[in-house]
Amino acid sequence: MEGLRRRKLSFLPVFAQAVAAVAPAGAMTVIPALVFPSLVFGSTGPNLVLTFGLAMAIMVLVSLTLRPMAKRMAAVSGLYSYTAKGLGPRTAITVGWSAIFGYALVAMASLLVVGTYVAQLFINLGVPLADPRVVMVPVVLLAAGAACLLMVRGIQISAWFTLLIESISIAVITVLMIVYFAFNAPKVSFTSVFTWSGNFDSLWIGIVVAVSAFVGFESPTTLGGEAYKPFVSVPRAIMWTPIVTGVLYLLSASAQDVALTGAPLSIAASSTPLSDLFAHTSPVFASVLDLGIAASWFACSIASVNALVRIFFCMGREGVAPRVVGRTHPVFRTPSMAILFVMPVVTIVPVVVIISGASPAQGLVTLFLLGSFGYLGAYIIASASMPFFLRRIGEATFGSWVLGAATTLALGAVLWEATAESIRAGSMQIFAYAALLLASVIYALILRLRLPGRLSSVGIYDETRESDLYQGKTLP
Amino acid sequence: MTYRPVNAGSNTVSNPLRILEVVARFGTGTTAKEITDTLQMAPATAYRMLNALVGDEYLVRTSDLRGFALGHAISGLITAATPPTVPTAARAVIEEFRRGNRFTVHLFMFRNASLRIADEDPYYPLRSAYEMLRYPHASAAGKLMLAELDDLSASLPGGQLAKLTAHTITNRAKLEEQLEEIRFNGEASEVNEMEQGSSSLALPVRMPNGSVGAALCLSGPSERFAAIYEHADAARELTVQLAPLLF
Repeated sequence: MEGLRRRKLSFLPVFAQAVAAVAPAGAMTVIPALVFPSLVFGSTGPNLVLTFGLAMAIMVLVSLTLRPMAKRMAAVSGLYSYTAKGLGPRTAITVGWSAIFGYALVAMASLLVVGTYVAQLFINLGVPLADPRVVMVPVVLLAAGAACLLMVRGIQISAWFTLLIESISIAVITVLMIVYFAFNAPKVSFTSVFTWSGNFDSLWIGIVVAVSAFVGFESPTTLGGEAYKPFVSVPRAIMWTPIVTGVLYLLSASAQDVALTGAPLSIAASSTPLSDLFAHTSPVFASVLDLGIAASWFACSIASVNALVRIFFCMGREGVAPRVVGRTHPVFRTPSMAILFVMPVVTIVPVVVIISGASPAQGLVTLFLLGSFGYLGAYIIASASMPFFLRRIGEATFGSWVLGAATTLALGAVLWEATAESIRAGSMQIFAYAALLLASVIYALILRLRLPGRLSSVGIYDETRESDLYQGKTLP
Repeated sequence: MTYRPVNAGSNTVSNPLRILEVVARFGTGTTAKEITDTLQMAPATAYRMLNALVGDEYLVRTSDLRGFALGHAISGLITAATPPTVPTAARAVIEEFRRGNRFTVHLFMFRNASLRIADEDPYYPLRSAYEMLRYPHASAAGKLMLAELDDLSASLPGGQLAKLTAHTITNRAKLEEQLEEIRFNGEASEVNEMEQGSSSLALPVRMPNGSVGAALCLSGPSERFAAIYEHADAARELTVQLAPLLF
């Protein structure tokens, strides 16, 4: 893959890319609260710990399924490249679009959270805001601009930056939670953590929202060309990220379950529940928390777009997307054209949501849920393609067929139930995703009929080069 | 070489080496199936090892991902393990030079950041061959090699530099300083640093790309170092003669 800086990224930035795309600090504070009051459909929330535990189990299964492919192919466009090798280019187009959709929506949601929490920060600091939108829109634009700059400058810098932000945010949030519980210990009851409300319908949709706290862990699979020793670092990063973040979520979900159960309804239903909760104890705590959350989601928007543009860039190189997005920056060697194409779209949506005056919380649930559908769709097809990928290179085993089938079925069940539940509840969001899938199938069909040559070039990846081979020369 | 069936579980450390050997023998494009068939190894075990070897770049996959080839990481092992071969013509010119003076003349080659004895003086064999190879900071040929390296850590383990005599350089800063001089002068010398009473002068044999690939080393008693140095010009001429014969 010409144009990108090859095999230079050490393990830590690769891991940072995964962690940042997942945005555990932001997710652990925002997403459990979204699941909790079941904002989605207003029904009684399922058990938070169970929901997150199941979501974690499914994500670990997905990472186990992606790992054999990550060990064998230095992909530049992640699941898209894997599927092209396993199930062929037409299916890959659907996976690519689905993944791009997922990354884009999560990036949009991230920018929206950044805006929401920075506005909240001003409120907690006692700055009078007639209309929080006056702060939110410029903040979103500013964040998008800064993200653009960091991404064009290079993944090395943006990865280090995001890792730093995440570490600080996680530390701050953990300390704040411990302090909060230390202050409020006598009032706390842990019974709800282990109580099961017996609501299976909302459990499924809860899992899909909880899954959105994990998505992005696969994003290092887009760094196969840039990572140093990609066949070690990429599988390691995608294996450990869901485990590490899952443990963080379980801790934070139990904590929030306790905290929010006892909280007044106005807080549980707020867009920034945890921050409101802290504001009761100390506005300074709440402000620090706001800053940590905003920073973490800022990192998430960077990481999501970083992964997105690498898929888009690959498609540009293959000719199944405009060729111009396949151009890289001559100096920084990043897919700069793809970044410049994608960022305006990713920025405009949260701005519109804010200006339209819709509830940020509702906007977030919609974006996260839709984004999750995008990720889940990509995960399902990529998982299903794993055994075919291995068979094609002559390395399939019985275990790989079992694993591929199990993961595909588990993901399929979640997606199916969530779809059914969301349609029952009268939500039409799923149709937006279904339309995308249909469009991708039609697009692939048109390509096949009109430009079969371009379709056959789908699935480029970082191939072995002359310099990777043993040359038979002696080392001085 | 014969391949006996391997019980995969019995010696897991050797199996990756057997895999490397099969790939080296069959050449670029060796498939996983060929490897499991040849070694009679369980496929799942073989795939796991192959992926580990690919991960560390001892092997690489060919473009269709089915085949394997030896990766660049293996060159360190092969280079370090293969003894240097010196063509007869090169041996002959060194032999002629030996007859022209009364000092010891050895040829060392640099291999993967370590010294290898390429042509030992038959009349005065090396007395401290082990020390020569292990402590490059104490010998003239070793210092000539160190001066070529970007990173000394491969040749000089961290910590204290070994003190072989009272004159051995054990201060890293001082060594770096001397290496800078060696790079500038294109020659390295050592007086009583390896062994009390013995000294040597090393001159570079350059490869076509200009980097130093071997050292021609003259040694003798320390009190006669000035006399050794008188042969420097003749020795330098010899290195120019040797270069095309060796590289």
